[in-house]
Amino acid sequence: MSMGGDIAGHAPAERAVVLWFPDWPIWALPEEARAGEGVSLAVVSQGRVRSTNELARSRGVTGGMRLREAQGRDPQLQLHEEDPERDRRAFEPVVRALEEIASGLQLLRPGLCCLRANGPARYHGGEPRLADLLREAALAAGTGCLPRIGIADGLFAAQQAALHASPEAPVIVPPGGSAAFLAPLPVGALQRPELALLLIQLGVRTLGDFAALRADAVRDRFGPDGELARLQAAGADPRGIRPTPPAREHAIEAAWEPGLERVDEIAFSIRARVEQLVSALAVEGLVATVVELTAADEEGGVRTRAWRHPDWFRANDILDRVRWQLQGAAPGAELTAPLVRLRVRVTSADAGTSHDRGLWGGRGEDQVHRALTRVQSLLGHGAVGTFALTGGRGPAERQLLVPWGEPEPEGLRDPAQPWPGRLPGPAPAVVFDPPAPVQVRDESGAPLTVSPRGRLSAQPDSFSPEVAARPMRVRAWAGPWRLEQRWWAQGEAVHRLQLVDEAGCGWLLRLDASGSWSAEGRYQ
Amino acid sequence: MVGMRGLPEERRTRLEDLVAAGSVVSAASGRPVSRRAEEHAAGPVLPVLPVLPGLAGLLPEGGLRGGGVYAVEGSVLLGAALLAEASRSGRWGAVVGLPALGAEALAQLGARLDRLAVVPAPGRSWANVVGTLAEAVSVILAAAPAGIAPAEAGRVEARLRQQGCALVVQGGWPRPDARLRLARSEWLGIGAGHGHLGEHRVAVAAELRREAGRERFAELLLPEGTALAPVTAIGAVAS
Repeated sequence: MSMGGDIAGHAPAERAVVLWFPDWPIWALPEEARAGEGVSLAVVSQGRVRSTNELARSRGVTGGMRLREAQGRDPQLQLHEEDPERDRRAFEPVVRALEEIASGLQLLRPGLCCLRANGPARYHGGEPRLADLLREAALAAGTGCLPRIGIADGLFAAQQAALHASPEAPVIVPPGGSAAFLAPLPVGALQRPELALLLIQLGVRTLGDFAALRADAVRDRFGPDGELARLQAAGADPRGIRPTPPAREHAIEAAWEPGLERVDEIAFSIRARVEQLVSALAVEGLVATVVELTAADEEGGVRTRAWRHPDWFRANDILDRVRWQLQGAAPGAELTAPLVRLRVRVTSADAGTSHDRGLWGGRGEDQVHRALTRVQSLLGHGAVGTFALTGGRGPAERQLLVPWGEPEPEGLRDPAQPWPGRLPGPAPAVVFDPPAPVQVRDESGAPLTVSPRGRLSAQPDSFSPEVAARPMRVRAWAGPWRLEQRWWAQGEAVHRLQLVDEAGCGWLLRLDASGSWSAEGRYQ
Repeated sequence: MVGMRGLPEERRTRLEDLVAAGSVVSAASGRPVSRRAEEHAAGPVLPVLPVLPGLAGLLPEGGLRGGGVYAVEGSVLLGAALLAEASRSGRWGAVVGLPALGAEALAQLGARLDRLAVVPAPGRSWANVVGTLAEAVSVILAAAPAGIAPAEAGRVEARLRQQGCALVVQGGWPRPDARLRLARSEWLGIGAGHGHLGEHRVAVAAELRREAGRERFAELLLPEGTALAPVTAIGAVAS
């Protein structure tokens, strides 16, 4: 059914303009950092160079280079820590200037943006003219950075065109010409290093080669992202351009003199302004999805934390986060020092319409969310959650509670893997964390021990689920299983034992290195 | 019966009265609607939530009645087993006040952990938390607060009925719809120092409020939930 290299069934790619401002993090630096001839600059993060200016590049400093190597090549190199927020703020005036020429700009990242070409080009009298006007507008914004402009069918092709443009001349790929323009480019242009490596191993070196592969074969082998990449390579990028809503600063700040000590008092005094903040967003058709709270106390302590909402923030939700952040883990706890300043800043907002039904789907889900949020306001953020299973040897290690509204932590281990020390069969219904002390004795009443070679000192005869409880007969048992714990001090072994008491209740026990027994789990 | 407020309960009561008076007639058969059919007719108002097949025969409706309270004594596993099937069917559930509940055991019983809200320590807000959750979830498994007063239990029950949410309560409750306990527990696969805990065969006894003095017994496999024997009843119904 599918022919080689087909792009059938996809709407023709939208005509797109991409503006790329090279080395934007450098241009975003404050004027005084950039001033002066002969200064070589690098923006760095996590010990690596992220971007550089022309002079640093001419001295051999390139993006991705380790800091030590960069300083070796250019001892005069001036380093600045990466700050995405600074990049974004500095790009704001550019965005505003460009929107004078054409509205509907989509911000891909600070220093890279795109817009639909058709409407504005018709209005201004052609694509070359549109490109000129955009360049002039960017220049007038006064950052000094000239954009490289690419125009083509589809976002991906326009982006590649921008990379090939010069500050003076845009690259305009004629309609229908994206596939031919992209064909000779290397597969590395897809910005998917793993995919590119695989393709090169298969002998597929150019975008043209990749585009010529069978669509179904690509989908089977590389999945949906590979499919998207193939369409991009074929000049049929299906991604549309979605204008970014104008990013205005949405924040409130309150200051108190003298500072406030009671959390309720603080929440009460900012309530009206938080409500204003939420309704100001609503007027623009936006809802807050991430807020950042910065609290400064009298003793100079400043704590900032970002809070993500699974749905979106109402005024009460923000006030809850204020309480949680100030109270820490213990509800009702007093502040360590009076609070003098509190700032609530919306760091991520979304179009309200996409949240009309809530992220949880139907109305039922919305009800669940509201109820759980109310319980959170009552008991604290961490007091309500959902279970997540993870890999681990003991039952307590194998589960965790994810607070409601937070994504599952990354890097959960696969619970289905055969973890060493994990027993087959049913999991215990009750998990003791920490393990609860118990007693296991032999027929003579002596505590049971395990020899260094892993043998029980005798047959278990009686069992007390609590140290003081009446001993019960042991009906059956299995083990012991030796359990090497990585973190165990001298690499001493602990042992596990399962037993069934006289009432038919199953237990999972462990013997620690000091010779005491405890229960990790009960099976009913 | 305690505090019958809220529209659904009133509707149900009226229906009951009509059935008693013999004035409700089944549209299909033309015969007076039986008691069983009355429960069925009340279905959309107070839904019946599915339970594991091996437990269904213990309960008059074949499942947990929305708004009903089921008290489980002793076994956490049995409480979790009662909740599991409703959760598996995609309904939202909640677990309150059981900080040591094993999540993996819940999952093995069939519960969907992504649709199970967990409040490990409700503290003194127990009734408030259960009442709030009842507005949103279909079934709640909760550790009963020690010595809950009948009046407070009545208020919680009224909220549960209003919302059609079933409560499986671990521990004592003044007048539950049913009291369930693990009557027997046997493990296969484990012996004198060999094997491991494998197949778990249990017998569950249920005493229903409307069948006082009589107990029903079900034998089933856990966590699979399959019945091992038909449900039997012992004792006479006090009338």
